[in-house]
Amino acid sequence: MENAVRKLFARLVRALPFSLQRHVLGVLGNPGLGLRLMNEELARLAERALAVQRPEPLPTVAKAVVTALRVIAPLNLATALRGETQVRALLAADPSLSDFEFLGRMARIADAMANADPGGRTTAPKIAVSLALRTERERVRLADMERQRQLVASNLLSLVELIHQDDVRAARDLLRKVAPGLADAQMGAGALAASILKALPDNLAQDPAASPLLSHRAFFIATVAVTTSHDFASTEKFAQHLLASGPSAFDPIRTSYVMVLEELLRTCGNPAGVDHPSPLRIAENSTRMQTDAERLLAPWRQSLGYRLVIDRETQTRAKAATAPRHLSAGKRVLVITNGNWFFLHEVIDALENMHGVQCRTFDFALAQESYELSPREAALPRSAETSAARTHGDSFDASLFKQLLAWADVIFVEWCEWAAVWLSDYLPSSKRLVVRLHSYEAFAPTPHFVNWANVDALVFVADHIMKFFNVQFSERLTHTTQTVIDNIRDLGAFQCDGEAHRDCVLGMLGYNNANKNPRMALEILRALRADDPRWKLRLLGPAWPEDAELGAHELEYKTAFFADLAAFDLTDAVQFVGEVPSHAVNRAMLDCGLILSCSEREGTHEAVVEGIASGCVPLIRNWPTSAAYDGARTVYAPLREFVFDSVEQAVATARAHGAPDAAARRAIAARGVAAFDQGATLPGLLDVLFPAPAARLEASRL
Amino acid sequence: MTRRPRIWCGFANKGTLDAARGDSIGEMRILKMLSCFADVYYNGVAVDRDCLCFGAGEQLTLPRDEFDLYYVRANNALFAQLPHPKICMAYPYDEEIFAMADGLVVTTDIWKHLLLTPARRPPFAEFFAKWYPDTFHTAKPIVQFKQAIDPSFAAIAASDQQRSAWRFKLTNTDVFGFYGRLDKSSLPYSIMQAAQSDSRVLLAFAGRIRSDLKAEQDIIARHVYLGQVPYQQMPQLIAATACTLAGESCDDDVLGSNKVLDSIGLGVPVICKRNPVRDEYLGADYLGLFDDTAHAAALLGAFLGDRKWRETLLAQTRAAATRNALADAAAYTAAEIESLFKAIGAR
Repeated sequence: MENAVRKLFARLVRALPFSLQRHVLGVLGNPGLGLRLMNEELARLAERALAVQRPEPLPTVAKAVVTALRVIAPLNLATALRGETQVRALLAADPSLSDFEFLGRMARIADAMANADPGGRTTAPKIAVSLALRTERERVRLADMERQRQLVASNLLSLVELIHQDDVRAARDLLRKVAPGLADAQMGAGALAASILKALPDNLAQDPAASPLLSHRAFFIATVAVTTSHDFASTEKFAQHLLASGPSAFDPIRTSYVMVLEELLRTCGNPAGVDHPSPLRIAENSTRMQTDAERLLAPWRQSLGYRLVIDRETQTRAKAATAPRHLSAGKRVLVITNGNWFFLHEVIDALENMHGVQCRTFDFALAQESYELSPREAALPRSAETSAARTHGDSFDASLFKQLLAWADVIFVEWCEWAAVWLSDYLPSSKRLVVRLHSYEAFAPTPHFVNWANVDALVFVADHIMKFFNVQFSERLTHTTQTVIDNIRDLGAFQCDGEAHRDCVLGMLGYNNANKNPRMALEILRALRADDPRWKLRLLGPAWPEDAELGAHELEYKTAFFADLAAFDLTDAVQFVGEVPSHAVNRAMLDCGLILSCSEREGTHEAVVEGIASGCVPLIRNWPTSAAYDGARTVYAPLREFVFDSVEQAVATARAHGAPDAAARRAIAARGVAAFDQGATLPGLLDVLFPAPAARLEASRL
Repeated sequence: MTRRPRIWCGFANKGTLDAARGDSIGEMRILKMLSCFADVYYNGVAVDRDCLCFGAGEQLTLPRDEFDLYYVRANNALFAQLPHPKICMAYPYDEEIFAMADGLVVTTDIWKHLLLTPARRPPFAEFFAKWYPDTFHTAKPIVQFKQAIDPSFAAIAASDQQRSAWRFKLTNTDVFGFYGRLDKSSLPYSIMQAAQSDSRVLLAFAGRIRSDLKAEQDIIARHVYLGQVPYQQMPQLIAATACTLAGESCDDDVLGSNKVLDSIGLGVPVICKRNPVRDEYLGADYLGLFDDTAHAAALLGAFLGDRKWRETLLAQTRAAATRNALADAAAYTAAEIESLFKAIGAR
């Protein structure tokens, strides 16, 4: 039962846009609480749902399910549904029900309906969509035409979503009930989706109230087309069709191309592809990209989407050429990130302590919250303002976000993701825009949509990431200064001791996913224990997620990990320590003698730095995604003798350095601190943020 | 030595109480306070102050054992079935339940006096009209369950890094925070009005924006809106806030305010409208209490521009925190319950 509930919960959360997922998880505080919420209600609600007299309450339930499973602003629709008589009656039983709980109930009722279906051939969403469509079709004949047309449109889009979620045949069956001619036509998924779009009322584009629907349709269409055809060319063709036929007020191209590009990166020259949310992070894909980028990216670079992106950059450069940039010499810095401040604490501390510098901060996730910017919407140049105007009148003009942007001289954007995309389009050229890219962004589609002509400086945290990035982007970075500056860390407070209990103890801080590759740690441990059974492995960090929360790739890896653990007879030699708060990392590392990095891909692997600063001997794999650039040996140049290319090398190094004395541990820690502490890295970052006048002049000439 | 009283407690129809909602949080704090001097049972399970939830099961069930006192809030059906002596919260008013009760529970001194002394009611007419019939009078004993700072709440705010992250979300400047229910009856309108005339003043809001706040959404958008923040993260958020704000409704004038206590417990000063409850918690001479919008504007200005004033306010905040310690509130409430037992001839 608990697994079913867990799946249901995960599915419901996944159905929400990113900003709401964060919101929901935040409201619930922790997944455990969420699960309990679901458990407590499930049986009772299912019973109630099954007891209702059909068909009377079903349309209401159906609409609610559509609402619950929709990607489009579910909370808004939930609010709208509260006006329905039957929903009101349901809510009257518990007036304090939150929107999320309400949606949860609806989803559970839907599942109960599905379970009750004697044929067992149809799913809750299908019943829901079918009923909702039928009901709304009937309502269209009634007086309130405009509003009802929107409802029809909304439900048709749900149908498109269904196609994505399930299979074309099921959708076609449903569609046959409402539009027989359309459903029986011989066409592929993309064309079918296009036909559904054509069934939308003609004047929908002119109706501001319908814009949320329109702004998502390209997303759905691209999703459908890509996931069903796995064919970049047909998707590209479809995107062109969208651009040609779409309403002028709506720019579908970038949201569509995010999906298109994700698919391109997924296959990445390998027709079979790998089912992974970030396919370029798979080592063999990234290696292919490193060696054959031109060919692999050719479809994208020949696409309409790419041309639009490049046109925009060309226009920005042309504008800069006719009106030379006058970058302010001011030192008002606005630091922006999207929810994750982890690597910024030391940076902001340093800025605050600099004479003449003022530092303010802004969380772009809050902009999405306040102005209804979804991550994908944020990719659209005008969306922040149009969306804000739609929901808050002219409040965006007076918004804190806009005020802070106007105030700042330098905008430092952490992570090269949607905030960087949005700001590269939005900011006037008088503002200095600096973007810091860590690692995963170089393997994601997002940087393809940045207007690089408006980015003054790009900071990488590792040399190999810069090299990999340039394989994909070098021709677009002519205007942008590129610098490698390691993460800014304060290692001054780290303690190191030489206690003997650390000897022959491998430590791995952060292990619970395929990228961290703890299976290799097991291989190393097995080899070490063949000669010396004292060797142990401490795995620190959050436990593996539940199976239901994992994608196929991660689940397969997790299963294999535990199979290895048993097969290698290492159960007693591996200790799962659990989560370690950041302030306790040093203490936890003092129980480990060696810090292990077996990852497929890393930018810097912070856990290794923290281990070294605690006196752990590092054992660092030459990360495969950057092996061609000797990534790990470059990042850990001062300790490169501890980088390995094979399990055998790792075992040999561990045997040689498994039990160093206290002086040796202190020496390793001292080398690490000298190389990786902020004393060594911060000046470089400050130079990028506040370039010397000559550098500014040079930049303005470009 | 007197035996610790055994008190059976229940709230609404919740078999288990956890910190999922504001009203449950308030009730859990009352139980924690009672457990300092009594053996408290929630839905039959002994309350452990260090636990994250109290009780067991989905629904309340009638106690099987005998207890010295039964305290129930918001569950009339259950209350009617309980043996005596039993007490209930003094709102909402319910003629039958009040008649059945051996005593009524309040959380503040002013509330107690208003129930006992009709002559004091006129300035609080709105509150009284909202919750009680015009002619309400009771001869029942009134017991004050004194509210206190919850030490476990303050203890959560341990991580500097999390606190810093909240400060960054608050744009890395001094922010006045209003966290909780965001609806027409709850917002600090005097402060919001005062803030409009001083561009230095930045407000932060957290909570769900209720549907009646269409007009205010524009104002909120000009400041920091954090969305809904989980209870477990509230201590860090409050600790990252320069100063917190509190509501101005008629309920705020009389009912208790955990919001104020949470803030001072974390050493964060409060600027709020003066009322008897805040006088009780903060002291009548507390610098952060204002009487009208002009006064509120002056306080905001002083907070941002007058370092000495701010230091004095911080010192007063620390002193107020000491006065509202859990042990003191428990001792006070223990005496109140002893008085109740004497008045009704129990134990």
